Amino acid sequence: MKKHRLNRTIVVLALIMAVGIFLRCYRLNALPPGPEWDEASVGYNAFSIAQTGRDEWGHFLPLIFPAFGDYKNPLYIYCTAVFVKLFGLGLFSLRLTNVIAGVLVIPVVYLIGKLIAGKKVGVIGALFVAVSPFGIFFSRIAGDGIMLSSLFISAGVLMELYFIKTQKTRFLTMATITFILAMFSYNLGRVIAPLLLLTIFAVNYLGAKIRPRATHLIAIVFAGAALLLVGQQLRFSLSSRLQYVGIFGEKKGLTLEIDEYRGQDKNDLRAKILHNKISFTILTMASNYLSHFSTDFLLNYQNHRNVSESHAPPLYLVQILFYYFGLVLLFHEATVRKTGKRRWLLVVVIAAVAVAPLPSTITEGAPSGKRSLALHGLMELVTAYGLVVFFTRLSWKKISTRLIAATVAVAYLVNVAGFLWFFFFTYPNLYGNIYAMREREICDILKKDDARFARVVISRQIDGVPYIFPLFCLQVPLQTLWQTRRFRFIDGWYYVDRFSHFQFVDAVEPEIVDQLPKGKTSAVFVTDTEKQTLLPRLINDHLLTPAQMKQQSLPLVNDPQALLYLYIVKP
Amino acid sequence: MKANLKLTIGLAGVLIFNALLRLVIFHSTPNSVSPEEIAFLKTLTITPALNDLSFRFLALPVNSLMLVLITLLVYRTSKNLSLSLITALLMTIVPWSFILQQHLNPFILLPLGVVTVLMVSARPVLRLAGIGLVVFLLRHWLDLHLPSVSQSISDFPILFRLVDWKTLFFAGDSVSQYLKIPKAGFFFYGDSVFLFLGAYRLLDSRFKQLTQTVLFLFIVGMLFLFTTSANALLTYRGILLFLPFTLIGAVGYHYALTALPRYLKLGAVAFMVINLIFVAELFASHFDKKNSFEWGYAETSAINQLNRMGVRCVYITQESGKFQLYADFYHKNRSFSVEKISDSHLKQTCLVNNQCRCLLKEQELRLVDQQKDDVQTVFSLYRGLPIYFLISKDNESK
Repeated sequence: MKKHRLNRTIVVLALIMAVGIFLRCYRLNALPPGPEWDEASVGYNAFSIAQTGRDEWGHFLPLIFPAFGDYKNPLYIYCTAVFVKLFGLGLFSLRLTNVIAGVLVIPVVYLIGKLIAGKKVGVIGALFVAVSPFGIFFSRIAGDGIMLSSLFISAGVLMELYFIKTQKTRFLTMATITFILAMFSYNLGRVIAPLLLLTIFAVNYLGAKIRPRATHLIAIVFAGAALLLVGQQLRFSLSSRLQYVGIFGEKKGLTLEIDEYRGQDKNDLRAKILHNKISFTILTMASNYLSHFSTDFLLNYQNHRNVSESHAPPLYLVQILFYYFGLVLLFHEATVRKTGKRRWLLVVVIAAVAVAPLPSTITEGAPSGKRSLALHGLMELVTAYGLVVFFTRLSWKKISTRLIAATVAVAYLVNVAGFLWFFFFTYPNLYGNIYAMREREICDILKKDDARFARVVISRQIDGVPYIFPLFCLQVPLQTLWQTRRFRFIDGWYYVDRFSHFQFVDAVEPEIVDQLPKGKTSAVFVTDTEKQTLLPRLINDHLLTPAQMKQQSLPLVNDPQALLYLYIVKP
Repeated sequence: MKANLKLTIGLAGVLIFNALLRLVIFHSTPNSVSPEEIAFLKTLTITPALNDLSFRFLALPVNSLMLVLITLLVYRTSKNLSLSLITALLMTIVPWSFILQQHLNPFILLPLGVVTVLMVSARPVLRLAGIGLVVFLLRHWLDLHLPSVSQSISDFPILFRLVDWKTLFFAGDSVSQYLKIPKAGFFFYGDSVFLFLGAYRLLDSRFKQLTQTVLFLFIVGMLFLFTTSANALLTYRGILLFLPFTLIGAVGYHYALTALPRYLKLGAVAFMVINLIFVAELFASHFDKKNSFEWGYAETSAINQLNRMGVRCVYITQESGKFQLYADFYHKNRSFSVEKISDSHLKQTCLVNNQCRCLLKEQELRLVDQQKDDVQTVFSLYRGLPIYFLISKDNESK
């Protein structure tokens, strides 16, 4: 009977995973459109590693990738390099790692759910993850190892739970390894992984007393890995990612706000006592933290132009009350139980939920879906827990209970259908233009016609980092890049000015015509503003026939916010 | 009898404190009349003198009555004296309620009406009917309407944003500064903690009736939101939702002050006091500076100064509609006439030597060949940017 039940569970889980795989793979090449800038950079660096073992800047098997100057995390790029080697460089191979990570979160959540509350919670949690809006979106983008890091965090939590349950050191070792991998996958891992590992110490301190010697040893290993990561960052002397995106810093909104309020109070003693970094930081962080548990973040669709953030919320409307109920239940049970392993299991899960929003809390623009993606899996699990306990407390024999259950199920299906419609049909039309639309158009032209151009000029008014797209879509050999590249390094950012026959300028001015090779065909990609000054020069120099002028005055990309023109000339 | 006496004394104390806040401590903040208040004063056919804000005292009896009724309501449902008084005190000072009472507006009648209905009847159907009647009676003043399907759908994101904890406790109305205490939400920051405590406490069977009242108010609050205009301030749209949140918060405060260990009690009190001082300072010292654009400080100070200067008449353009509104409202308090002219007549009218002066906005100065630094007499927002420029006849430079 038990074997029969186990088989049924496996079948159900397999079906759930099949759904998860389908939703993450269907039209992966086109949805979201791409590549966008970070994806192109990740892709080309993965291509570079696969071909030569070096990144685009020539560093051999680096532990951190300079890329544009944003220093990308290594693990995702190495995983992608394997797929690039197998399938070639393209959107599919580029995104596959996150797809696999997103799918693997499903069984991990099942196992966590089964461990803390039984198979039913595990299966329902797995189902919620399979059709989760965050799960689907973040599995399909490849700008960084966001989903990969989330997988390792969830897996680490699972290993910690097994360690508490079985007291076997190997599980703590595996937890440490997965947390280290999380740190090398995406920045959120660097904040969360150490805290989650500290949870084991906290649990021991609170009374669990689970193999303390082993935990200390593992901590040393972890600290060593962490130092390695930090050391790599210091070696490149980069200003920390936290300075770039964090809420701290002299030019940040927080500091400007303090100055404003103090100025209004004429900088008197009262102003200094009330309006200072401590008070404003506490308020900002409290506000940012709480926002991850509240309705605007959890339920509302967001309208923004950020390609690496989901426009859909993490939860469906019908789930919200069960999510809150699940949180209260977990907390209540963990505090009511004084002893026993179950208590510590719940403490670890609560700790994971509690620390997950921290990376987003300390950055500008909170709440951020990608920076709080460690919540993915845990949110769905807590919701499943709340749902199962809710219906367990009602009498299933009553018709009203069955009616409520049916209503919830139907509402859930409607919510899911609504999201899937939005994501697969509405989203591309509504937000397709934020995914490097002009750059993709340039790529399409280059793929067809690059051979006929002696020079291709692309303006940085189109794109701050235009060089990466020709590299990606033409799969420029690394030797060519390394031998012909000219670049500048300003304020921690790389500005590539030339490689091969490509030239990248801050802005296209009429004088560019003098720099083009004489007697050979060149392509110049410009924005609408640049066209106003360039076109008269081209006409004046008789570089365009009337027919060419008419044709090339039509934009390649006709989005009012992103007009793109191409002029093909032969000086 | 003893309990009734204590309740009466406690309530009297809260009412005195409330009166002190409104009549003494914060009587001149906001420091000008808003366009919305002008519209409501016209409805009430009240025309105060320039710089006279005493009309706001009209809100005091309404507010006081509401405090009395809500205290009695909580006492009746919970049988707890201290909880009732804490509720009354919280209703006095909680930011959403406080700011609502600090300016004259018809929405102050709504919580009073709702609480009255709740006091009169305990049956949900009758309560719903009673509240429906209150809403119906106030519908024109509050710009309410039956919800349409399309607006209801588009109101769901507004609802989620309104009850979002960041909005409730830290950000407030992020769309309009009009009634927003800078850097504060609709509730105190610390209420985020006491709300959780209160929600937890309400699960106790002793508070069953109060819990039912709170749940009822949540349903009413949500329905009310869907009847409000999409252009209405978030503060107004959420007014009936804030009420049950306040009740829950009061339960949380009560729990902290009665059931926790002494050291936690002291910590809770200190936390509340710091919270209160911080938000009070934000209101007293920063509200007028941050929100002056939405109120009438520049307009009333312009009228004042023009009176003192003995100006006989003033020309304005279509751009100065807000000045026209204030000038018309205070027509009895100004010694000059106001006339509208078109942009094309500005140059020949403003620079010609006659009795009248031109009052222009910054973007119109170029039409009379002047820069803002050239203009001597300027009327600004409260400690803020210049808004109106009075063109002099002999082109005096600074």
